[in-house]
Amino acid sequence: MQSAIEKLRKYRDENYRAHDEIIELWTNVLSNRNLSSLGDEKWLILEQIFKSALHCSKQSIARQCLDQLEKQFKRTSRRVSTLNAMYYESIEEYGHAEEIYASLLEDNETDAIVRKRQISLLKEQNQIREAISELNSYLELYQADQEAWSELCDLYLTEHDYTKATFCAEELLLINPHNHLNHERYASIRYSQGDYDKARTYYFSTLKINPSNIRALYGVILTSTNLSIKNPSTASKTQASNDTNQSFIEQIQWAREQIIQKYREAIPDLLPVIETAIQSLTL
Amino acid sequence: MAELLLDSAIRFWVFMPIVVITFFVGMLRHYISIITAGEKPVDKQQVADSQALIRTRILRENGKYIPKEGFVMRKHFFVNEENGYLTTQQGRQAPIRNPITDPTMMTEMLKNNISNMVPMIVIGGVINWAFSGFLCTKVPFPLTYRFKPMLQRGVELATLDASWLSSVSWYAINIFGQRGINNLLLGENNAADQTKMMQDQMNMAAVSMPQDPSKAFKAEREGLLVVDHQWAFKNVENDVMSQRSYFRSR
Repeated sequence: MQSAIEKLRKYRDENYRAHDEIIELWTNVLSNRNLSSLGDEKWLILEQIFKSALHCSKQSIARQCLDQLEKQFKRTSRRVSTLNAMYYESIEEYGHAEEIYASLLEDNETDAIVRKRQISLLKEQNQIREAISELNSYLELYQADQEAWSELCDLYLTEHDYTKATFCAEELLLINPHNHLNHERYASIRYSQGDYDKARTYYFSTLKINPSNIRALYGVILTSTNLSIKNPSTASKTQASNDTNQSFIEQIQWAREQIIQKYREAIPDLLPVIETAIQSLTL
Repeated sequence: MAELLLDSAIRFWVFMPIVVITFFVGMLRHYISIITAGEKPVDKQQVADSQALIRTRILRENGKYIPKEGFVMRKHFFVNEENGYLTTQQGRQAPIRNPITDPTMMTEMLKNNISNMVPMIVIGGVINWAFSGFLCTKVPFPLTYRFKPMLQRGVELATLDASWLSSVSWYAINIFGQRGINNLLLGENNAADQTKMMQDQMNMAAVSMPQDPSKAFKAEREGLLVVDHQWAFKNVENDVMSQRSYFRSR
């Protein structure tokens, strides 16, 4: 049991996402034992199990943990009230959850967690427009909240509003300029908009940070292909555009070789599949 | 230089008890402060201000990673003459928090004073009364004559070396010296730490920028006006390809 406790502690501290494993640990090891020997850590563990149970839709386990927490901390604890509201969200009693969040917000207007849960409540009920406007007003206060910008970007993408999604992705780039996934997301949004030039630049910047990002390599192939289509090299065009076309072709070749090499190192069996795939992508 | 030899009873009954008393009183203060600490309500305006300042700072630092249009758009939003965020907020007068009239600050100051100063003074007085009239210890380095009245309260000997200390001064040394032990045992930010409290009083630049947001905004605005956009990805294709080709051909 001690190793289970330590594992849970590690997951808590490092913000791991291993909800299945946590639930397994709980059902096999911990639920039968009496956890009072852990003292205060017991409540932290209960909260952690509760959240993982909600992720895995195991409402019965969640109810057990919540009952224990409520017994200890009564209804006045804000943290327990939030958890209670999250439970109502998961069993789809949205009105009840909304009441609890509203009353919590009355007490403390600046509670970021409760506001974010309200927004996710709207998202669950598929009211994307309202969720977007609520998130916008949240971001007017909390301008540097990375999670919120990321969520807003996703919401705009579901609405196919690419210009606004670009803005959010740029914010993420500002907050975390060395995360290759941010660059790749920005490049993909630009590609969907049709801005192949910027997309290509940002796929390359992704590769600069992480040379093993296969999506970025595919992105390079696609964008260079598209750019060279738009820029057909004929004898009458200027030398500069011929040069750029030549460089596109070079880049496509280069990206293709990179992809093949990576697959050769990792899973050589897939090589023929990859080769045909790349053939169909390029001209 | 008289080589004084102190009674070994002093070692057991004065020297160590003072260390022990200081330590335990410090711990007691720490736990009492945890129990009596109320939850500080965060001001909405403060949060908005600090977040805005964070955003302008990252714009200045990382602006070169986003395209020029994005950077110019945000810069305009912040520093625009008529309705830029920083220019409008700059004009806003920070509410002057007069400590005497503002009731919440008053109670907080009172609580701070009571929980920190009073035990120190009381125990200092007790030690002065209980352990006076003899020397407690000696500092290993020579001190000047000026320190004598300060450090040798109960012992008025004109010829005595200034390095010899009375019990009260030993108590004072303990208060400041046990910060290290308190940090180890009670974790950082413990309430028994006097020097941190004094440091906080000296530099009031708290994270939530309580006192003067307009000055901070003004500074940020000027910083942002100066920044020029140097796109970091002008030649990234050639950079990356040459870098990777080099590695590949090895």
